[in-house]
Amino acid sequence: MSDTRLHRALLRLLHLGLPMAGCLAVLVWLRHSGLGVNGVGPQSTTLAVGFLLIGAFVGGQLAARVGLPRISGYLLVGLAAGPHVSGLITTDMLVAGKALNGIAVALIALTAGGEIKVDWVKTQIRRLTLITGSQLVIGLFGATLVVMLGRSFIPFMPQDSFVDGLVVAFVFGSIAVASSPTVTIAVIAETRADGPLSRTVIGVTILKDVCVIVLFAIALAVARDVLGDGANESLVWSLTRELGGSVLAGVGVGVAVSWFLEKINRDVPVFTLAVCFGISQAASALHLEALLIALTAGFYVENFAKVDGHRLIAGVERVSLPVFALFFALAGAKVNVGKLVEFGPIALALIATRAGLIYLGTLVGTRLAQVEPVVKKLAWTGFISQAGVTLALSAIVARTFPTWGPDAEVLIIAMIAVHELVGPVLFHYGLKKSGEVGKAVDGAGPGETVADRSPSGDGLTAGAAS
Amino acid sequence: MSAAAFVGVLLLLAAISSSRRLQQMRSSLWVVQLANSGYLFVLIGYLLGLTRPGVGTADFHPELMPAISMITGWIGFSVGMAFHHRVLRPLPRRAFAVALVPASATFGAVGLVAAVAFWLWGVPLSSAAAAAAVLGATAATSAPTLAAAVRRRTRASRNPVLSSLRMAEFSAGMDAGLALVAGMVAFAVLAHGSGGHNALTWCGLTLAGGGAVGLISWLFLGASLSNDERLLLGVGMIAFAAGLGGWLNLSPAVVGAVAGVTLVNLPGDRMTLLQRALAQVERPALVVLLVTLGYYSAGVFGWLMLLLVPLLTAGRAFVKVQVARKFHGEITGFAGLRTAPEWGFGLISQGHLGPVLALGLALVWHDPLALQILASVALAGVVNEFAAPIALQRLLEGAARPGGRETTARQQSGRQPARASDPGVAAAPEPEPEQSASASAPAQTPLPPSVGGPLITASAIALPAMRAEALPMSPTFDPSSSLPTPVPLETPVPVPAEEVHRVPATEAALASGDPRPNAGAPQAEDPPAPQGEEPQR
Repeated sequence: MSDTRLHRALLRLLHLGLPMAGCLAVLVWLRHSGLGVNGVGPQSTTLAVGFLLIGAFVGGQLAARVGLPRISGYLLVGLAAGPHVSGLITTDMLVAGKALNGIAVALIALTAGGEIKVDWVKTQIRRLTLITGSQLVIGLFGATLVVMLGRSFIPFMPQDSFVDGLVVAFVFGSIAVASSPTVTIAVIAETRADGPLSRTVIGVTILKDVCVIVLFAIALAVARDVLGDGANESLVWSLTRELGGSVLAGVGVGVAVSWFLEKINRDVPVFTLAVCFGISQAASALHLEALLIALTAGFYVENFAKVDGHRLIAGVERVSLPVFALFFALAGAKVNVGKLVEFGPIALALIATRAGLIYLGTLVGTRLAQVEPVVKKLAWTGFISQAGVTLALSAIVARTFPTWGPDAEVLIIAMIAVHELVGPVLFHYGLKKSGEVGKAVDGAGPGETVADRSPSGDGLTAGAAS
Repeated sequence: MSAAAFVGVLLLLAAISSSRRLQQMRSSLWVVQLANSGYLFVLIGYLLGLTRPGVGTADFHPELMPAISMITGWIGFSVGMAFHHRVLRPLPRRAFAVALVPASATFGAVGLVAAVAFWLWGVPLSSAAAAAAVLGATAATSAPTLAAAVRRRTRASRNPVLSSLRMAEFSAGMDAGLALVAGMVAFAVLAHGSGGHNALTWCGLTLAGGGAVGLISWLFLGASLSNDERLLLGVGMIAFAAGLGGWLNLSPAVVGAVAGVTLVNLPGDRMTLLQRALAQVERPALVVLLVTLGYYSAGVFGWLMLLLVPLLTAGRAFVKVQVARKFHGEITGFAGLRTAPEWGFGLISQGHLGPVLALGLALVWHDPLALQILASVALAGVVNEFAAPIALQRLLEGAARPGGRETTARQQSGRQPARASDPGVAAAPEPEPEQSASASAPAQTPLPPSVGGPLITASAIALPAMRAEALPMSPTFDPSSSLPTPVPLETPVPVPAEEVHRVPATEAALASGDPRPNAGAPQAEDPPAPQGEEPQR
């Protein structure tokens, strides 16, 4: 090792290792001192949040050094510090996670909606529809078929009734096709990527997310009907309320945001955070989809408002990095390694099947759409991630079907754990391979990425280029 | 929280804020001050708070508590970072003493009355003393922002108005130190009452914990980081410090402040970039804090508040103004800096540290007494910010009166010049930052004559300053900008031309037809103001 490398290593140890060890020592001492609130209640959450943010900072730095996306670092730090691995952060210390999740999801969706431009969608509609459609059809029916065929290996599957088994498999299939727009946007922003691959992936992911919500609502309603489980609500009414209501609410929020930007235009970050908090609260109270509300609002502001939508994005970005880092670290902390081990072989088989189906669906879709070779070859890497929305869907399954839902939730969470960790790495690799990394520049035109609009040029998850 | 009610109130506020009537009201200095200090958000929070279930109870929303705790730590951290030894060391002890006298007296008076009231209310003596100390500390704090805004808009570098504004600004910045020490002791006493160990141990833990976080931050900041990474790290460290305080039932703000003081006084300039990164989201954090303050104050009422609110408004103002009157005049070490008797009127603005301490008390010890203290502080804060421009008008009028005009230190006292070895006198002469700032300032709003009736003078000066985009709603204070670097008196002190002419400012201005106070007199010290940036604080 040369002197320079040794010097750098020592510096890293001094500026990352030593202070991180200091934080760890303080946390361990507090946990074992028995003083104060002793890890119980919301007072201890602030310390957990602080530790996770510092850990995310260190994890992001280390991940970048080994060529991984920073969000993988955030996730791994959360995983390592969380209740299922080291137990440094207990479940009690994560009570703030719910509020933060709601704000982060709304913030991310607002950004994603602001990314979609009508003109760009018009020109790309064929490509987006074909890729999304083929992924949905192949993914949904393929996953349903595989689960049905292997149902004797899955403990909670109804063995005696074919129809019941099919319904459960259909619910599983509808969840399997979901991807994570959150991760997609974060990785694109971090890498400051721009080009056909990143644009196609972001467009398809968002479109697919909307379709998955519809699909899941259908699957849920069918399952309720067939299995006689859960509440009785008509499918049409359920869909109309959830989707129509969410879109209407989103337009309302978009109008309010546009009005604010036009008339007041002060404290935009504060206003944005308040709006995101309001969206998550209202969605929870009115049984609407927060992601769809925020997505519609962002889309409205970008395309139909009189004001420049970039103001909103700029406002979001000023506060976004700590929110996103904490969101992913908390997601990592929730990864239940024990359950992953419990369902290990089945989960791994389903993960491999899902990856294969996504690859196949993307290949068919891209061929039909006659897209650029780079998209044909690498687009599938962007659809592996699963995160917030899928977790929410699995929770709904557990709540709606008390007989088999909780077990299914365990298996789905185990799969999400792997997708959450592998997905960003794979997409990062795909973007690098495509040569789109660092291509985002101001005024990139339709489909420009979040990073384009960052005043500092750092994007959502900064420092990737450094 | 009822989501529908929350959204409803937001829409109502949006509709109200767009009305023409309100737009007209925005031109009022009171409203501008209320908005710029952030206390308008207390009122908004109050309205929102009326919609919450369990209104008027100490039922804090568990999902909001970590964020609030973190923001209180943030304010403490920002305040702590103002106490930089390199800036403070050259300032003379006399300046510190004078600056701290109004705050100390207010702390003593308000704290004593509150302690007696709490004790009579049936609160155990140690808890009563601790709660009174928090209340006293709250009363002691003032915000330097309004005085600083007006000072930066005055043209001359030496006049009685400027000296008084400088002193008010400096005092309002320094009293934070007193409040933090009082807060540390108060929380230590309360922690002793609940969790064993003596109060001294808890004070030690506050200092050790904050110091450790400051040191850790300093080590982290040694790496080469982007602005957003600094923001992530800064928010993380602040949350960690606040969490440490919250975990030990200590004040998150005080632990954060100790971390800030430690960080800023370690070698190097690592904190400068961190400060810049944190400043990006300081305002959102403050807004959330102030909304929360109003939110949890909504619907709270107790008979004790009938005493506490007048004590924190009229009582506080009376003590500050009266004590400042007794300690005005020349400040040793600052040639030509003489404060007018009215300088205490510049200390009425409440600022954010006091409410932060009260909020910390309510978060850690959420009982009805803590909630009444919180509500009293919130209400008193609104009243104080409303009154601050009126009080500042008194300062401006009083300091600009012919009888109140200053002379230079030498002319006034007739004493021999001080030697460099005198206490409070710097060893080497340095240029005054204020003078250089004035020199680089663009055309500033002149100080008009006090002939326009109440508030017009203050409005004319402060409104443009306060509306200016650059004016932050900041809890921080830069001591280097409030008082000039001391100049040894051996150095020839330039005698301002207006002193030579002995022409009252307003007369000179009227004679020259220019409404500026020094317009009639030659501006010996004011070089031509080139177009450029606003003076750096």
